[in-house]
Amino acid sequence: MKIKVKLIGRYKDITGKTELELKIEKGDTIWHVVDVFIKQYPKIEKDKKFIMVSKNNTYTTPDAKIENGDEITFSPPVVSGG
Amino acid sequence: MNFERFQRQIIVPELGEEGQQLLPKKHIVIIGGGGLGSNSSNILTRIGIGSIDIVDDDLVELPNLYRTSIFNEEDVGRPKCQILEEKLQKINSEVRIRGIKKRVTKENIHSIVKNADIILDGTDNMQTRFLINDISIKHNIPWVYAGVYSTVGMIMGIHPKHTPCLKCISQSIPEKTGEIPILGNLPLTIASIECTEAMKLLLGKQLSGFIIYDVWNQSFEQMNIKRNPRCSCCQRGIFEFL
Ligand SMILES: [Zn+2]
Repeated sequence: MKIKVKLIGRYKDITGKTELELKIEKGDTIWHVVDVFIKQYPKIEKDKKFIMVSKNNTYTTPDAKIENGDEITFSPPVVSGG
Repeated sequence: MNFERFQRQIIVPELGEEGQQLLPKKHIVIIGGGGLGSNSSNILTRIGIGSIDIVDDDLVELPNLYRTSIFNEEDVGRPKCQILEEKLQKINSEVRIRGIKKRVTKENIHSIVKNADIILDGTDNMQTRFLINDISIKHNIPWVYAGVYSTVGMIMGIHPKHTPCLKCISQSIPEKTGEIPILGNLPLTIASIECTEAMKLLLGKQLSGFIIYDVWNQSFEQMNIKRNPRCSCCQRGIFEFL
């Protein structure tokens, strides 16, 4: 199935897109979607551990499964300078 | 408080006379008086908050000056909180300003924030932010998270039981390696947005969610994040930093 991923912050800047369509299998995990994303944009590899993925507006863990119609968003981790 | 000085602010419909009259009754505690804290304490003093505590243990250093609008060369070597108290008091003598020269710890944070209507984030590390988050959720004191990195700032108003907490939005954070890059004009911009969210919390208005602003690319985004049903802090009441 195809899912739409909304891109926020640096992920929007790197890809030049606000939204991306990724092809995954039903029941794939968030982790898998991040992998597919990184394969298309290797520059993001170093963010792999930190990329924040929200599913239906709730931040979720990498093992969460994706179902048809889920809204996925990739956003950068919170920043800590002051 | 003399309202003549706020005449142009009172006519802003989002605030109005009613809102302006409320601000002098409020007490804000700002934790950290650096790039974010010095700028936000300046803004809050000017807009008419009644009482402001600024908690910071550091001295002003030359590399601080490029990203604040308060400290000067003559202040280098003196405590940030003391300089802020002296200078801000001159802006409005009716505001109660108190500089507190302390490092916030799990032992003293409750006594520092217990009377606060709101806590404002002026810190430069995640450890203290999680401590603020724990005390906020445990004692039901709203706070505003703000952080900066390079050209990007993030802000989120946190209203316990109503909005996500900091733990809800920060599962994995890159470890701090070396000095954090910060563009000079970024803290002032982010402090300004932080103060807007603080005003909304004080006035009981709708917050703007999780805000990510890149001042270089002029990219402004708001995320309508929900509370994480598995959040250890705001859902399960585990306060691991306290
Ligand atoms: Zn939470």
